[in-house]
Amino acid sequence: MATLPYGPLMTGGYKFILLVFLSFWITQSKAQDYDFLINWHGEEALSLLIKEIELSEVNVRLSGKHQKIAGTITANEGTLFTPYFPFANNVTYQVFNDEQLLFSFTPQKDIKSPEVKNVFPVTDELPVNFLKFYIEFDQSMAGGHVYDYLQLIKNGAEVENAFIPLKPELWDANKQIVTVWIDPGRIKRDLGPNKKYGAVLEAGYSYQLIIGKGLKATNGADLNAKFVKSFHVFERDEKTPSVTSWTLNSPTNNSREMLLIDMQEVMDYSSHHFMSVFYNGNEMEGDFEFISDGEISFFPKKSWQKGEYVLKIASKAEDLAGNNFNRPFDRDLNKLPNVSEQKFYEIKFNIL
Amino acid sequence: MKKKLLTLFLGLCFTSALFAEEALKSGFVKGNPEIKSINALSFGPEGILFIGDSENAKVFALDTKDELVNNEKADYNVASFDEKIAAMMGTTIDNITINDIAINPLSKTIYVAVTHSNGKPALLKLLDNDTMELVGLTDVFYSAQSLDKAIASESKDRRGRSLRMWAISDLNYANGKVMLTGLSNQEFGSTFRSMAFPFNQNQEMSSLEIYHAAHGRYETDSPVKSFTTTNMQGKDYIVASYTCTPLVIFPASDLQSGKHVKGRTVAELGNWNTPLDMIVMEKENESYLLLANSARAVMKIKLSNVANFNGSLTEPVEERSGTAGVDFIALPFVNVQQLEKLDEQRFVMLQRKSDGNLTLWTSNDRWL
Repeated sequence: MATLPYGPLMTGGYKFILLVFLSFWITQSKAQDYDFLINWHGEEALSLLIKEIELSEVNVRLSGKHQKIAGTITANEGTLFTPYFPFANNVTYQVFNDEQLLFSFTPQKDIKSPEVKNVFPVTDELPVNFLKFYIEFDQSMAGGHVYDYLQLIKNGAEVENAFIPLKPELWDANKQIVTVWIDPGRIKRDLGPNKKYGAVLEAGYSYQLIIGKGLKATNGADLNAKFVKSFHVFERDEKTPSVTSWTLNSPTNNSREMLLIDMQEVMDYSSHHFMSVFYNGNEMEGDFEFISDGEISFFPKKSWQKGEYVLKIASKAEDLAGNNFNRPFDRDLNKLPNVSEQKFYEIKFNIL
Repeated sequence: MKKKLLTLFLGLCFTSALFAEEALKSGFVKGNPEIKSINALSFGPEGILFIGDSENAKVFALDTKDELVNNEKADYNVASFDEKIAAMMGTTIDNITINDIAINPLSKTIYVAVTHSNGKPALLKLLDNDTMELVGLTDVFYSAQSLDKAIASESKDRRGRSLRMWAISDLNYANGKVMLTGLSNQEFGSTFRSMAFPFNQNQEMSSLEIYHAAHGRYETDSPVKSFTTTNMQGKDYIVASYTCTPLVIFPASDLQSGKHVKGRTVAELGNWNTPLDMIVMEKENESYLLLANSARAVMKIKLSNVANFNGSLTEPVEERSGTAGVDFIALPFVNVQQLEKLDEQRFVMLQRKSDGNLTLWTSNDRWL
């Protein structure tokens, strides 16, 4: 297995003395003028080119550190150092040839701050046993620290431990939407946290979900203003969703008109990812889109034809309380000893 | 004659070792596996490192070629572990996340999965307290198994990117099987997956749902956060902890495709607490489960108590420090994020100390 260049870690008291000496020596060394270039790709500083000089022992370090940064070196009309991770914005680096300081540089670029685009569900009325928020940002976000910036406020005070700080965090593939769970241990009846502290949310009260400033985007910029979603809480929702009440419009034959799916209740934001449309037994190509908490649209890639179509909904799709089509979020075995194992539910519709 | 027999014996050992290696790594290819994320790590035999890659919806088996046995490894003790990684990777600690650590049972080298804030993964190995290396991932011997189509192909956006993510939260290898569990960004379901190793693309993967019951009355299918395997009274078991605190066990023989398995709840791990990692250590013919938690000290549970606990929490149990079920002992280690077995006597912890310092250090069986 290939390994890349690295330097020894520094530990221990004697090494500290050595570090102090090195730092002193480094700062006292007179840097020459070097012609160099930082190669940017979008908002990321990907490599450093030292022009017209081929250096055999070049290495780059964070300013004041002895550790050499992992990366690759190529020589071709100059020396190109490509760190494994991109250089950080506004951080100073020092370039050495072996132990001789050559110069310092600081990648700097104006980068766009992220903004909260949406919080789903959009509604401001949520049940006591509400389970998940989806927070959408306008650009990809850095993972790993999202729970440090979330708060739930009730009557001006923070509700402690409202969210379960999941590792790994639940981001979509683009890192633009993060799913955040209200602590399920407090929602599930008869579990220790539920018995001792009750549900996180209380019916009749108003709350604010706060996404605090400082949450970092992939490009290194911070959320520069806090975002507030206010909502009111109503009683517990134990009812499993059902497609029997859903209504569909009738798109015109030979058109690519939108199919509008009215779910007649507020469903989880992800519902449109659990649907598919079939014609003559074949799945239609097209795009499902979220219109509102209770409405989904489907735009086919090819025109509708006369005949019978089937909208299939996976039984795993959930409502706001995590109840899916087969079973409620937490099932009372005395009242509901058996549940359906059905994988899909169907709605037939005709194009005339 | 004795010398000849010894030579023959050693020859047979060598041949069988070669044959075993050939068998386990026979499907490996050389190249770039194009790993997109490293969410979980676990070592198998012969220096094979399993990597759970959520973004690819794949498990990779990597031949680390790190097979030299070291039975005299010095204790690990590295202060400011995250700062040292950040310095080596040329960035700041808020730009990196340590996803998982795994210890090669042969060399005792620690492998560390790190992710940059831009999503790029890195695999590092810590040879000793002073030496860390970046492990190349683009020219390696490997094999791969895709997770089932339900994860990989459902629900794409207009640019073909998967909208539904299944974030692998734990991965373990035991008895010829790679097992993994994860959390969905869109459903609160539970799916536990198991696949035979060496990987066989044609073989169906076991995928089962694990339920747990609250005092026998309320039943939920809930995501498993972390798990380990163990043998109790001659039978293989999976010990699993849910995101919402129950600790359950179920027989490994229940791992059959499509089956719905109800885990037997043996403990609740306390309020506002998420289980993070677990290992099994042995001492004087007793096995102990060590469990790291987000809001509790490391817990020690004697596995014979788990095996003998038949209550399944069907009746409300007197609470003890906010937990219930089998007896446990809180060890004096709080804010432990990762736990790994170093050898039969020692284990390694990644712990956020009270001064904020993230330290990788070694403890031993005096606590068992």
